[in-house]
Amino acid sequence: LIKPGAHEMRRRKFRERKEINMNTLVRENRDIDRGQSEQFVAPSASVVESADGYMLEVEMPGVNKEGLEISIENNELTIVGRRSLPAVEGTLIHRESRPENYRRTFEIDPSIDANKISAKIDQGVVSLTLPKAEHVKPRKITVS
Amino acid sequence: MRLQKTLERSLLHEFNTLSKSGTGIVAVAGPVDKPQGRPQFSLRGPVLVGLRTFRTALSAWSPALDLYQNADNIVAVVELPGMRREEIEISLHDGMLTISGERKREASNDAKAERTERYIGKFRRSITLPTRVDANKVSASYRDGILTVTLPKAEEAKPKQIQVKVD
Repeated sequence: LIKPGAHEMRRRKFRERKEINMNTLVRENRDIDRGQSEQFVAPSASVVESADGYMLEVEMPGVNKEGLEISIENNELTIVGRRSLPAVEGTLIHRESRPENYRRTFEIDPSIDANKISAKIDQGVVSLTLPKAEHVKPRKITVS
Repeated sequence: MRLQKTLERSLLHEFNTLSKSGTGIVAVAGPVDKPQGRPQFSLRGPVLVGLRTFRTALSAWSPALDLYQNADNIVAVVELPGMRREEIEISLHDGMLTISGERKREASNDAKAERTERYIGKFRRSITLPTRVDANKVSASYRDGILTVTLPKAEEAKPKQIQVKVD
């Protein structure tokens, strides 16, 4: 007999497991922004894992290649995006956008090959490819 | 007004975080535009009903929109990161500007673990314009994930005389 909600519990457990797995590899570092003088807003991000590595996507509308700054220091990947918004003549009569620039820091697991990280930006979305180091990639061993 | 928006945004973020962690609220939202104007929820977990902010969180992605006005134009600036031009729809009806579209998930076969804060799916954002505009002269551009819609103001709306036939 299956208790009511058992299925839901399994799903939750599965989701939690995925979350933990993810966090150990590309973990967001929230402490880094303390004591910063410039005000930043944290952009939305998503991480997808594949056999070869991770794909990190960060939403930064209004940022182009020139305004983007990506740095890695001590296994910390920092993405700063400075907006260059279209200049509009006239008075602002309704505002929902935030005026701050974007900044977010992720902790990179040692299994990621930091020298091979590549990035591109398209329509305000930064896509970072974080390849896994060769020694952690899954491999098939041929039995002779 | 500003504070309210900020609050809504932070609540939306909290909701997203909760719903992704799998330990928070499990909610199913019915169609947002019910005739009664109230969405119908089926909730498990902490119940939060009647809060406008919560309804905002449940309704789909609501992109930030700024509105400017000058002598000739009304200009709408909307944050829509990562869209394709052809996936953005702009319509004008009864003085209301509506921007809608859909962001599709990029399929990848071997992806296994995932954590997402980015909104995938349909969105719709409407705003009532402060003046009448010339619908035939509306232009739009999409650059760096920002959609800019320029709506030229209409010539003075001319009063029309309607003839009523009486038999």
